[in-house]
Amino acid sequence: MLRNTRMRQLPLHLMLLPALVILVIYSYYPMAGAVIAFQNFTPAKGIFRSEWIGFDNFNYVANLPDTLRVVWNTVFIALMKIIANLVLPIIMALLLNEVINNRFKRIVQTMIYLPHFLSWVILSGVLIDILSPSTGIVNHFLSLLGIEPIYFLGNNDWFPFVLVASDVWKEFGFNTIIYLAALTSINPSLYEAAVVDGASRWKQTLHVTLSGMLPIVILLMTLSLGNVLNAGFDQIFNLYNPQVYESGDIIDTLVYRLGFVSAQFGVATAVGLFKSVVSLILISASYFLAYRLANYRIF
Amino acid sequence: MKTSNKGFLVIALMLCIVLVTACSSNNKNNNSNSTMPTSTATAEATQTAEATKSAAPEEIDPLGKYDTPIEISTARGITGSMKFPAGDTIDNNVWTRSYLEDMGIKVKNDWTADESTFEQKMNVSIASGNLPDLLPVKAVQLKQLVDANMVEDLTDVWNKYASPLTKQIFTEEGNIALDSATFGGKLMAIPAVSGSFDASTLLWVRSDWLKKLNLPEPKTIDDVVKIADAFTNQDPDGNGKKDTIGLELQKELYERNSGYAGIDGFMFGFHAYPRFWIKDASGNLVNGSIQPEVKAALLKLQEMYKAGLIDKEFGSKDTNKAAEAQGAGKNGLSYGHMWNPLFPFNASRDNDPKADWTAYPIVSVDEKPAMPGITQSINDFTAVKKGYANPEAAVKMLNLYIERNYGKSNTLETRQKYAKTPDGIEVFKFAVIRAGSSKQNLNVHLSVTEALKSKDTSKLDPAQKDTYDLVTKYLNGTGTSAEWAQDRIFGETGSYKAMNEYANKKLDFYNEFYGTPTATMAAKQTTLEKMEYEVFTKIIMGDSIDSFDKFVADWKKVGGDEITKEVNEWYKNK
Repeated sequence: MLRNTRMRQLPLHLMLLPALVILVIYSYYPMAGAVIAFQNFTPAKGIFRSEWIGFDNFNYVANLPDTLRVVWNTVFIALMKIIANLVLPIIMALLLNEVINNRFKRIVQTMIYLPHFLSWVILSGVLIDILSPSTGIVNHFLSLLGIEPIYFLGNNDWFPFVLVASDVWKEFGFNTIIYLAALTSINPSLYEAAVVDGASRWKQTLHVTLSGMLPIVILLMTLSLGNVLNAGFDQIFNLYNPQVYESGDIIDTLVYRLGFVSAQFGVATAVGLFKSVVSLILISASYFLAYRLANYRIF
Repeated sequence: MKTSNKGFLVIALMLCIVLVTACSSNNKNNNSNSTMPTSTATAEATQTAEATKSAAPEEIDPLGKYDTPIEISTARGITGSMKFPAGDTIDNNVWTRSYLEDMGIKVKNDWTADESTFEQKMNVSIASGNLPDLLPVKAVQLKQLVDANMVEDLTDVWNKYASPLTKQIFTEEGNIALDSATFGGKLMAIPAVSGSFDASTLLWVRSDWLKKLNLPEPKTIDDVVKIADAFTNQDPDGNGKKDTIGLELQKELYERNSGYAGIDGFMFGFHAYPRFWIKDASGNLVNGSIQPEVKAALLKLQEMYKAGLIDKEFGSKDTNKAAEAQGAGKNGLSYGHMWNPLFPFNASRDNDPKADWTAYPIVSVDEKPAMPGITQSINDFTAVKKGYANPEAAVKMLNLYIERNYGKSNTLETRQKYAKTPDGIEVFKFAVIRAGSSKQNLNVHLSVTEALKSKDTSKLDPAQKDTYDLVTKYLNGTGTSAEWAQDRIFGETGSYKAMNEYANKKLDFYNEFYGTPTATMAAKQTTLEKMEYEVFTKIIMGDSIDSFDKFVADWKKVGGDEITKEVNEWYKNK
């Protein structure tokens, strides 16, 4: 009987194989290239003939004058994005869930989902125009309220928040849909039971809806913790400029300048490797925490 | 049930097998593809080499045709200004067809990329070892390739195959061009000579505004500030709104890369040469970015910015965004290159037929004349992959380009076919290897103005006649903004009038360093440049000027001192 079950499962397992092969080719095989982090890598010599230099690349980066600033910017921007991208979609999903008019709900859903499909190259051009202090629509409104124009993209106090706000604007529709999907899986009889027990609308939301969403919230939070060192390269690369290097330069833009502009591949890989190791630690830790605190396991 | 199970199994297995074999067979094909031709090619090469050895005395035709066509692969950068005649592409155009028909060289593009990302893409190509035969590379990349022994030594090929005309053009400005591609006495690549003279910085002024407000032509930096002030505060476009500014800048600060709206020319007026290596009193080289003259220039720019004479938002505008403001008639001053009427001034002319721009030589802050800084260092090279059987093909293609543009075959017919079509498409850009004579454009201006005065066009060569016709069309009042641009460049009061002044008065200031980047330069340059961008931008926008002194100290500490040492070593052993 046992043998029979195995035989029945075998084809299913085999069907996984193509995906595994692709994973090995595109994800695991290139990982071997990370060894150039420990080399004085010259593209022309390749991995096998470049000189080994131990941790020199890491030392070099650690001693760059910008490094501390850049790491701080990355963590700050990324954490704010993670929090904002977690909280706002949940609120939006809860609000949309209470909307009775289905047509209206769909329209709103589609509208907030749309920016997700635009690339940052396009959006940055749009943002530069609408945030312009002299001609931008945002500052035009501010001036109607009697507020002095703000140079959003040139001011180090504002720039990180512009990054977070525009990122949320672009992505929260997409995240809202995930939570809306989670909401549909809540058993309606729970609400009925809550009503019988005399729960108000607010109490229902708190104890039925939110707790029903909890597993998916924890899952997304756990996964997003791996992004603490990813502050969003394409967004920042398209929006930043010398005035806001101080608050907007992140690890990825540094790697870009080191790796692609000045062709120091070894150094760039060292930074990338460092990033991956930190992400691995964080994601493992959050996985462990999710298990301990919420008794939730992904695997 | 059982049979269906088996069916599943079979399908799944087949899926895997197909996938795996597809991968492996692909690999095999690739390998055989890449190894086969080279091995046969080298075999052929040795054969031909032997054949030529036995056949004494050798006869070499710089423009000779291969009897059996050879293939050469390359990679091309594409710019926004490239336009193609109907049906043509970067892979198939008048030049690629001509290479094949006239020289027996079949050019194949392994890949193409936008000019702005070309260098990065080439880095990736070098890193993966998957190189085309003909390599358009930057100085840093060339050095890497030479160090790794991946490019062909072209010394012999150059001596044998370069035509006398080619050799003449390559030594027009001295030996610097060929020297910069020479490593250990061997020529490892063909440098892109285009004449650094044409890249001299000019001051562009909206001359219809100047006339309208009755302002004198700029002679000093003070005049520039006055004009900027008038353009900002006296409503030069007459729309009753205060919506114009004086000087346009953009976030990359220098126009060396983009050719428009930089601070370079303003700096030169203060005798400051940021990012140049200049000789100090003791004869050693020092970096221009950290000299006190820069501080003075920045202070003036800060003053102008505070007074609203400079685009408030230049810090977040790239060249194209800055050009948009210009097209909309929002600014009247910018430092740029001689070709600016073609881009971006044509846009303001299109929007406002009264708009007119005139170039002036850059002006000085004191009685010492301002000298436009010129970087001689050549950054673009064409190398040939090690082991490619016909390295001389590169030189031959270059000969062909030079012959058609500067040689006997420079007739109106070839010009219209291979340089610029009658409807204005610049097909010369499709040539794989190009080179330019440095004073060619200046000569066009001189001959055309001469002919305009004498009405005698017999002395003009086809290129000059072409320009002459366009300028006369504009002067007769029938031209569009394209003809206007030709007049603003080559015409009597065109930008070459100012360039001619540079040439006559020998106004030029050369960057003393033109070697390949030193070790520390390669490691620290981007960090230093970022620091410079950040500090300079912020000072202009109002930061305390004291941060300049801190920048100088940081610059030295972060690696500047080391670079200075290395540069001086290079200078002594040059």
